[in-house]
Amino acid sequence: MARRDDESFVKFVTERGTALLRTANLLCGARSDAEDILQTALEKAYRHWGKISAESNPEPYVRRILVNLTVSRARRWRVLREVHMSSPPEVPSASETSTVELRGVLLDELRKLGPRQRAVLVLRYWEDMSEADTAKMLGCSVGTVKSQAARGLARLRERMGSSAHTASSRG
Amino acid sequence: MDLENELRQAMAEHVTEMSAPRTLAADAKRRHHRTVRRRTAFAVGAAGVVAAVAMIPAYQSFRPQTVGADGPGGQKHRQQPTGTLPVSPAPTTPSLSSSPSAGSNGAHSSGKSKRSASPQGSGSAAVRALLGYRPPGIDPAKTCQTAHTGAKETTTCRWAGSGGWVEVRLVRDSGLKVPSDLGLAPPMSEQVRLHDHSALRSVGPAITSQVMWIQRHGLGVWVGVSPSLNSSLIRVAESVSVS
Repeated sequence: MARRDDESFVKFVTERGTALLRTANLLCGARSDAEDILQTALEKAYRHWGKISAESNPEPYVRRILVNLTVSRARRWRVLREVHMSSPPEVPSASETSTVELRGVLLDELRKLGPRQRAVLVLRYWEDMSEADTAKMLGCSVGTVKSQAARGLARLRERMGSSAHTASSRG
Repeated sequence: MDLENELRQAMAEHVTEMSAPRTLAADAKRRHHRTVRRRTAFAVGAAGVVAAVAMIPAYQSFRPQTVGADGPGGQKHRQQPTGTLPVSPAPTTPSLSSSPSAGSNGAHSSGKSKRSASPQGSGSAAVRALLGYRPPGIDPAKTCQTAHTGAKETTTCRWAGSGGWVEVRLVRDSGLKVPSDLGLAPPMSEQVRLHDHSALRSVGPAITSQVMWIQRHGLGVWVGVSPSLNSSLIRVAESVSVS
């Protein structure tokens, strides 16, 4: 069975690096952390690159490393309870485009979710993965994915309620 | 509001301008090589430490042991037991078989004061002896003590263990010229050659195996072993080097 070589690794990263970086960014919430986590994930993947079959798609493997790393790192930092933000929280102000403002708040609220719940929402609604694939990626049951997604969305809806109401009234 | 679609839109807008750096693959590979180097260095270091720790017992078993008299202010003071050393006149036959360590309650302070009063002790250069061979069953730890009798200074070091004991004495006295001058010669002895010197070796099964010689004018060496180590006496004595 043919194995992957160094060249295929460079090709894969060139083609899929941006998509992976975007996922990493959504998973961990900050660009600098996303690049660091992605590099670590790619380093781990490169270590075993030669063992991956040339016929198979390595992306799920790398993506799984990425998700696991993000969740592990979030757990390690749980004591600090850090909430990463791409920019400092701003004082709400009147905006002409309430929808855009709402999306910003939505992302901020997404970052405040737990790492696994955030991962479920990113995989389900950004990567458009099925519940079964998400469960396989996270190493949990489909039921867990369903409940985590439902709870995550409910929490977002709850937190967004007041913001949406405020934004709507402004708009 | 369709929250799922809003979430999709929000995520898409958030990352739309984001792209991976061109050096991402090279950075990942460089990071991997750095990790490999660091792990290798750590493994080599750990192996070195383990090897060093494993070598310590082996090294202890064959390294020469410092036996004897350093003279005033020498290192032997650290190994001397505290207490009072009974300084007795030199016996004609050392009675070693009964006690595992001669003068276990020996007096460092007493010996020191006597030595300082002794012209031999205070004025002579430091004398050191090395035990190059330690028979099996003898522990590397030793006890040393110094006693004075008139102008004679005797430093005794003893090793003991499950295999018996070994004792080495360095006697310093300006009057020492032949082995019998040490005052330690057994009633029955024979002449042998040791370290290119004429030496006296005990004869007879009932007496502690011992051998003595004059290393140089004013310095005599006495080596004794427990009966269980009779056969090792000459080998032990030959391994003693005095500087």
